[in-house]
Amino acid sequence: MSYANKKRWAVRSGDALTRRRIYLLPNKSGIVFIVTCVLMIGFGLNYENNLVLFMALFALSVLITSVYYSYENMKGLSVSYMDPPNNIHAGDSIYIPLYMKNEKHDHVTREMHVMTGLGPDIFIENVHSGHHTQLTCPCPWRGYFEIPVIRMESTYPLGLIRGFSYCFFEEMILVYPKIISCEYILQKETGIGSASRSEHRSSNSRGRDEISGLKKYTPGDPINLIDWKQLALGRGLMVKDFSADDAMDMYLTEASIKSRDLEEQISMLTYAVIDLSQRNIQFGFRFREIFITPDSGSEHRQRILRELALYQPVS
Amino acid sequence: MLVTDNKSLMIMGGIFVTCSLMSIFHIYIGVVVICIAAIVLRIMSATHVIKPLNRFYIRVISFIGIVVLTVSAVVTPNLADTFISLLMMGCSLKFLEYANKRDLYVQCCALLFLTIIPLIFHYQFYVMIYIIVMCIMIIWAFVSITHVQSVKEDLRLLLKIILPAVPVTIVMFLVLPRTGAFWVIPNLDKTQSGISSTLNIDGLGDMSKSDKLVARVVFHGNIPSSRYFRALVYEKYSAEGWTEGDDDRNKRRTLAFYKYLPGSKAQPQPLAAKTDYDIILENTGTPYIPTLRYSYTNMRRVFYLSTDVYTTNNNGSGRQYYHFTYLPDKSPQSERLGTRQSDNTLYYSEYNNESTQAFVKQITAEAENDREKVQAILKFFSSGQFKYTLTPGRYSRASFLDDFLFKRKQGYCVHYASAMALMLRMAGIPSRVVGGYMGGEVNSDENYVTLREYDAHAWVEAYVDHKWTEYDPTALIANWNYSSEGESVIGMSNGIRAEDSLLSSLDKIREFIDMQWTMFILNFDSERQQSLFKGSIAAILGLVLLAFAAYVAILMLTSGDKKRVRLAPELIIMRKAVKAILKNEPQNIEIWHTYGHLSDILTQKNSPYAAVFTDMYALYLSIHYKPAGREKTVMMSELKRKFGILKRI
Repeated sequence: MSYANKKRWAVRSGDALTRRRIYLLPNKSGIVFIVTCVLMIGFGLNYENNLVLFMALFALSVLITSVYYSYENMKGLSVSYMDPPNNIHAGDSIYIPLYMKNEKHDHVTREMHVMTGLGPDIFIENVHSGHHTQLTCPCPWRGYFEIPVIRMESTYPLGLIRGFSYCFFEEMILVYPKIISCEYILQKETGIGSASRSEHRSSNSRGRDEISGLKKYTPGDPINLIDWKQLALGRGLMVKDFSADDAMDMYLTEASIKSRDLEEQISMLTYAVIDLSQRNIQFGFRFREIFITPDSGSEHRQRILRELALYQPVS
Repeated sequence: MLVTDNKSLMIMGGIFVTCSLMSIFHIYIGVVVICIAAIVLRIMSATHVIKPLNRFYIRVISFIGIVVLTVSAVVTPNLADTFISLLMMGCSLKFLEYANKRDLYVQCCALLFLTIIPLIFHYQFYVMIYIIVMCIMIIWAFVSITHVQSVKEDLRLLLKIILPAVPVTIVMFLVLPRTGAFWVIPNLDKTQSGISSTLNIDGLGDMSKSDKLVARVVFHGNIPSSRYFRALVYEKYSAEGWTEGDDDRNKRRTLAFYKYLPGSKAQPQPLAAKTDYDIILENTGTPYIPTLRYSYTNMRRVFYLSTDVYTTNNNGSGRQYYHFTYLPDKSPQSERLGTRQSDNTLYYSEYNNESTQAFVKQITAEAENDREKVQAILKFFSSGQFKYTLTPGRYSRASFLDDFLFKRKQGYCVHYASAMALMLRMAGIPSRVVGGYMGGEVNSDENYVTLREYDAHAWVEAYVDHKWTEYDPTALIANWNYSSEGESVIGMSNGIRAEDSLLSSLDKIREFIDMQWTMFILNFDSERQQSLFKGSIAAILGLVLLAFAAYVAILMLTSGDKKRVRLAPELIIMRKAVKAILKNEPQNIEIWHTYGHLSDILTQKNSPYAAVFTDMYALYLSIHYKPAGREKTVMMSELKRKFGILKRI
């Protein structure tokens, strides 16, 4: 159960918890404690035993005092979202890195539970100002993932009063489509979207020395064409293959994969894009309304994956 | 399975053991054995001597415990002891299985309830030590379950929590409405002492051997020289002994079921002489309040009976406080004697004690009125042929009078009072025996009298000239001038002198504290509340506000962190630098985590501060981890210089 409906009670990420945003209520143990005190008071009144009354009232007074210390424990704490994680795909668990600090530099918040209601809770025994932690929650769908409202709670100092507060984040995380490994064939096509391509290329053209792929190193190839990255990846010595023919680009299209289901197609294409990108192969992308001119590199890959992640079919 | 550190377990075990020891006489022996076994097993498993018990063994132990408890309850049926034993056993068995933290909290709550059990039986002022220790330990148990930290940190936190709670507790204690009992409850402490409801011929004899405290009577004025404290009046006589009259008995029954019945009070008369006195009555297990004759009170929980004695509507649970006013000069013109009361107070068995009947007729034959008849009977007792002894041997109930008056001629107050009362009845004078206490140990410094069990006494009242007049035949036999100060007859015979137990000044201090404790703590009731606040809401609100102010003041004093962290000078400079940057930087920088991170952000944003701050950060890192020395001083100067540059940007 997420705490999305608690957003109006929540504090914005990075803002310190204040009196207005810290909620204090007895937990189940606290209710048992109160009931015990009430029983003791009843016993003391009925038996006209002032000593019993004194003990019961003392226990209640301590409970009242602990409310203040529960508040003080959480006061001034702020949670902010740190750098977003990269390359999250649907179906993965998403890690939400959090940074916790306190207005009072030397204040330590004790017994802190942080939870999203979607993934596992985390428990931090002592939250020093500047504490780093990360929450995990599942992320089943592609597209923009809204960081869930988090609940922070602590039962310090007596375990009878639960101090809790909510925190919401304005940041979104882009979740790429799920990866389904498959076989694919790049389509060698010409004249596709020539107008837009020419436009595109006009801005991205690097002349005729375009790298179209890789080929095995043969003695005599210039050393400055060796792709060291491939060597580092253990694929042996490869040299960048410059093609003079840019009229016949390789394209990853709907026809490259064998599937009719949209989500499956997107997942398979995601796999293909990542695979091609890892192999540093230049390719273009065409899928329904999405068209991206041939290119290579991580920026190209991320651009395609972003388009795929956000793709909504025109009904 | 142990889910917390051993510290919380030790504290909880300590609470349990203390409560058990304080109530040990009210726990069945079998249950004590089960409790010890459970604690031992728990300690062994916590210290890894044995494996934690599995659920099967715990259930077996629980089953044995239930069987033991049931058998004990059947053999010695006592509701209170059964309840206490059940509670103790439940707590001890719970020690064996902890599944999670919540179990521990629930166990702690059960222990909190358990701590009040000893307070049923112990009410002396030194029980305050127990209360303080238990309060601290219970809160400590909660603290140590919640957060594992060192004992020193625990104690510091305890101080912070407990200190503000004290004024709140005191004020709540003072202003909490004392409603009295919601329902009629039996006295959990079944031990009875003092005067009993039936006085048989051998009655009070055992009490002569006991110096158990019954009551303290504090006089706000001169201590009366004649101190006959009436507890109850025996009007009915039968072979079983003396019992109360029908009116008094019916009134007590009514009070037992209707606690808020308005009691008929003895109306005060506008007399010049009066002495206020407070009675601090120990737990006698009976509702009888020993009072001087012709006393009155306005206390709502005290009820006046037709025989001029007072009773309460509970069976002496705990130590009770009562306030009375004594009117020594009061002497009623006439007192009513109802038909039934007349029948009761004239009854004797005509078929027994024929010699006595004949003797009474003989000695009162020449008397012209009741007063002369009484004098004739008193003269017989003062003739010197009787002997006062606490060990007269057993008398036959049927022929007691003949045997006592004409053969053995020895006994103590019960014998003399019974004999005189019956002789008066034989002479046609309504009479009754009064049970109570006489004399007592006088503490003239503190102006109070201590009544102990050996002060128990019985005397006679005769209805002469339309009013009840007191006579004490025992005083004549024991040759004791009852108009002077001194101990009771039984007390003298027992050989315990009043001054012996009060020689020590420490004892006097203890007595004084104990009395104040009883008056102002144990018996702080609605009447005392009203007298304290005088019905003023403003006074109550003032007190609450005062407590709140004290609460806030203590919170502020204790919650502030006294420890000031002394910052390194290089850190101070860096902080100032950051403050200056954030104030003057045209581009908004919201989130930064470390100086390095801020440096990166400034560089990314092409901030004019970027270069200088990056240099400062590098210097800061070098300085911060460098031991003190000349080089560090030089670097500090450089850092200051850079800061100056940064400020000028």
